[in-house]
Amino acid sequence: MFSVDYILMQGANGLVIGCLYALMALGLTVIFSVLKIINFGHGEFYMIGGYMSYALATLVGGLNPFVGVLFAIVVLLVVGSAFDALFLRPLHKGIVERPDEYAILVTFGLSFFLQNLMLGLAGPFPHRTESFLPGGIHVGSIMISGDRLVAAGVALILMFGLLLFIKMSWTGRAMRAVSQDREAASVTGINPVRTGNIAFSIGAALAGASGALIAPIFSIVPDVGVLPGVRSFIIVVLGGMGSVKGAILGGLIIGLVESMGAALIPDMSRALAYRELYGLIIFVIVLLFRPRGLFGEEYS
Amino acid sequence: MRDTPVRRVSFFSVLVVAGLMVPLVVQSSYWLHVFAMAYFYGLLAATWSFLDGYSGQFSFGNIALVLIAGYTSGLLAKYTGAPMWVGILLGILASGVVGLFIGILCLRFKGAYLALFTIAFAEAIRLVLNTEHRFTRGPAGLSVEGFFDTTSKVPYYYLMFAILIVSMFILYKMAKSKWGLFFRAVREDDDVASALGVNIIRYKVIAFVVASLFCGVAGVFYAHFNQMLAPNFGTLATMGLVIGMAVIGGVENLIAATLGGIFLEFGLESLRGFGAWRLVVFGGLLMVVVRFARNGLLAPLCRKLTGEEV
Amino acid sequence: MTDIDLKVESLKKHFGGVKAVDGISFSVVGNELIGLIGPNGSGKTTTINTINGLLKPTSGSIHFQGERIERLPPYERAKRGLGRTFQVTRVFRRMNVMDNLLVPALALGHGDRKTAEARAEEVMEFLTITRLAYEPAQNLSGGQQKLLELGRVLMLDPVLIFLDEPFAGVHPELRTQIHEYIREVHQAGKAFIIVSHDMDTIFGLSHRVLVMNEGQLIADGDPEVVRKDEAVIDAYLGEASEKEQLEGAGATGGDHA
Repeated sequence: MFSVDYILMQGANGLVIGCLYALMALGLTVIFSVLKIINFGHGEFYMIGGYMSYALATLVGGLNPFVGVLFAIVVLLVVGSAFDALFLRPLHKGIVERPDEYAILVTFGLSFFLQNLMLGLAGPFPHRTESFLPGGIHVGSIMISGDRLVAAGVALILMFGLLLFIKMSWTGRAMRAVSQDREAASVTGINPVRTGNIAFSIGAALAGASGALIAPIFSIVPDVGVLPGVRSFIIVVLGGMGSVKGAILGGLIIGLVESMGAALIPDMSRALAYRELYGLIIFVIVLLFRPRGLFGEEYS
Repeated sequence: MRDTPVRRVSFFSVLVVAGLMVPLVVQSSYWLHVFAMAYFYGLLAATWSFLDGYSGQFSFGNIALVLIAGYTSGLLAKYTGAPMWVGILLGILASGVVGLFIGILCLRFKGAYLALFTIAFAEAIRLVLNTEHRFTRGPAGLSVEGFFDTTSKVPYYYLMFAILIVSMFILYKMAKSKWGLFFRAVREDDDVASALGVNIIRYKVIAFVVASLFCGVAGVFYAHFNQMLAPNFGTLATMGLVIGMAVIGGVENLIAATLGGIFLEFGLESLRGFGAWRLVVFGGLLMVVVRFARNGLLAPLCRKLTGEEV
Repeated sequence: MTDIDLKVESLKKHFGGVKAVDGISFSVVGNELIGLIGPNGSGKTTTINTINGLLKPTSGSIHFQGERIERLPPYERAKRGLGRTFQVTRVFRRMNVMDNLLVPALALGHGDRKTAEARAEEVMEFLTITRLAYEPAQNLSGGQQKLLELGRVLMLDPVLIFLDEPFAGVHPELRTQIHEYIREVHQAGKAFIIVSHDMDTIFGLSHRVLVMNEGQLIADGDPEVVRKDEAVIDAYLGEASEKEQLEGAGATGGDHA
């Protein structure tokens, strides 16, 4: 039906975009590990990242497009930190009743707030940023767009950097300690409030980086983050909540599934529309039959 | 504080009488439409309060159930010659059945997992409705026949008002009954409730089915009132409005949640000129209320006016 | 008075590699008053959670009143007369005292709201908390919440009650009160299994003591005998204060009513 080349190309594209999915999901994982909450505003951090990259390029012309990514990261670190300090502090202190409900409400409120803020500021019309690497790269008989390849490459570098940071740095160790046992960690002198703040900011920044990296590829609109947001939930559940390996592997898997899935349904218009559905189906299956995902803990 | 029935009955009577008199005072068709939609959102906010505030199940699925009911009724009318009331009944039933199914599945989930699962459900419904456009007319929208053969909004106003009053009465009675105590116990601490003899499975599912049935009622009203159904009504944004309304009003208090829905819908409509900014304020308000006034803005007032906990 | 009969056989509860409860067996016949002690982490609370139904056992069986119950959900066990309280009080915080008490009574389904309210009033009087009837539970002091938990489980009219640390963090006056309440209820025909680190009270109160260590039952019998048991003293080695309590417990002559 389809040529091997086509399937390979879809697969390659899937893996490449999967790296970006993984980056964003990793952000969600960091937040979940340390704060024990699912950030329902994660998609909007991605969206803001895209807009920040565009904003910088518009305000300061002629800059290397990578600076836009850096700018997005910085902005999201600030936004994440501010939101955490204003709204998530009670969670770190452990003084909230029904913390799950609180976290969903407050992060969902943020999602609402940010989406409409950008709608008000930037309007509903799509924006696009400059290409990182125009044209395509040929690998054998497969062609992958330069942008996607560069984006994936940077994503991999960022993920690698993050993992190093978590393993080696003092803050990284503090984050791991708090994620295992907040009270024990605070007894040993780690400040859970500050650690939580840092974790949330990092998580936000990773989502923002993902958005900035994808900006040249897809257009930016205020609700561009909704699907990626849902997708990052799917990935985190598939990989296992709180599992770094899971987030990365999950991202690649979902990237592949979406690409290949689109290739395998003959009816073109339906196939594309149902791309999202494949992810949702996997999501539901995992939730029903193996809620801890691939690498998650059995008792959480 | 114990029940003071007289205060309660007077409070509700005043509301009912006020509601009945509205069309005498408000002539504008546009504003009567807004009123009806405000009651619609009020009812939805009540169903959400029933699910989260009373039985502790944080669901993103209410709007999807609204669409299921509406589309069932609309599609039945379009493809079969069935009289409208058949579509309406089957629409409500469809919501109830789907709600039962989802509710049973949701038993295995807690907290955020339940929320995520219902998000998946809601998105899947929206996706399917959009994509099967050959059948559902997709994003272009399905047109549905109105209840009444008139362009006047007055009969629609009274219909939705009646639906609201009757629905609230039923939900309220349930909340005050022993079922209400069980729901609350399940919400507070379902392990403890179970250890004290409460059949948490039965009551979680009952809450889900009841909420779904009322979402269905709202859904068939919306279909035949708006006379147009579009899948994008079922985005997470719309669901977010409902959740926000219930929480800002007071999620643990059925009346407060309903009033939250009504007032906020009015607020949003009145501020239409400000475009997206009114939703920025809405989102901000939601965050601030959750952070600083978790019980909601209207709940304390409602308690005073009705003289009870609800 | 109802016959009381609990039989636990080779009960195991493993969490992955952790063997929280590793093959315990014991029986309760009639209205016994049993203390369940053991060093921290010995599996006492896990045992209660498994018997009451919050956790599913990895293996083993539990018979209660002649029925196998290990597959039943907690509410079915509660309806058959198995009650429990929690180590850290878990009252329904945003509901008032009366509503807290009504939940189990109405859940059992015997009689209507009026009867349940009357019973609740009796229980509140017994525990001298009547004046708190319409206070939200979260406004109660720690000790009052402990009393409310006790009252709630009594509303089930259970035949066998597990109390998990009923004396923890409670000031001496209230401790004596709770001690008295337990004795009175016991004399009315109910069996108790009480987990506590308060050696004095446990040895003073119980007719029989079970000792757990590292998931296993290492002693089961008369308090005096258990107190001097080598294995028991060994288990507490390193838990200095408890060891002292063991040695001094009951020496001031608590009563074995």
